[in-house]
Amino acid sequence: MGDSGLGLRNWIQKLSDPDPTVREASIKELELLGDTQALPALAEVFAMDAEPAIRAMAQQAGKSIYYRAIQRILEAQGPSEEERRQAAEILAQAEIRKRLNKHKP
Amino acid sequence: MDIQQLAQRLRDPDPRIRVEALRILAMVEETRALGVVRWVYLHDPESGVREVANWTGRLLWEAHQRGHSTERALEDMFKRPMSPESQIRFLESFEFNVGVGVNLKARRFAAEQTFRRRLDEALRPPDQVGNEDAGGEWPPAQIPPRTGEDVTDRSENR
Repeated sequence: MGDSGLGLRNWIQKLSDPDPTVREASIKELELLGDTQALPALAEVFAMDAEPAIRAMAQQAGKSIYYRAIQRILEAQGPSEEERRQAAEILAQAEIRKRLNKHKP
Repeated sequence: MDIQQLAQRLRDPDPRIRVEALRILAMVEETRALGVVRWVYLHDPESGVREVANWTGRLLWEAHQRGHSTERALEDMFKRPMSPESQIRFLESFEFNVGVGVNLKARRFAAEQTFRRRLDEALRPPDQVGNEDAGGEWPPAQIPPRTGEDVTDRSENR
């Protein structure tokens, strides 16, 4: 396990610290790390923590990690031929509209 | 953790994995999972898992009722102002090497359209069984409330 893995495990462990400020700090760190491995632990805090503010923070962090993960998935997939064709069409239409507008009196 | 496998984890033989997946779906308010969560609530062999599914289903239903969706949350990213560097990075991620104009606004629009289509693909649960329309009421009307179960107390259902 690399440094980031150790850091991740460390912050996850601190999510069960009795001190709410430590739990808060851990949630913030996990959000910054952005690793989806933290999602189960954050979800447990979201479901079980005694402090409503901490549950809300865990939810916010969880969503942020989740959305970024979706973004990474989308970015990792190269555009298909169909997407390229459609994008080219949209761009061509925009270019035509632009030229027509230029020639309007 | 592969977030694209979340819906499949709801059918894991280990009930702890199923509960974990339900809690994650509730936390991220993944309203697209409402159908599959309904399926777990109706069919899971473990009463504890069904209770968590009930809690998740209610949270997802509430999110759905107030108009939340993952697609919309992600689309909101486009409404936020982006730095020029981020815009270029974003557009480059789609590699529109089509040689039609350099109009940044048009390129951004094209990227947005593609992003939405791909998002739709990425969020479509791989297993469609039990993944009916998210539109029903919660809890599902055809299921009578279980005896002694207090569906109004969130703390007892998670």
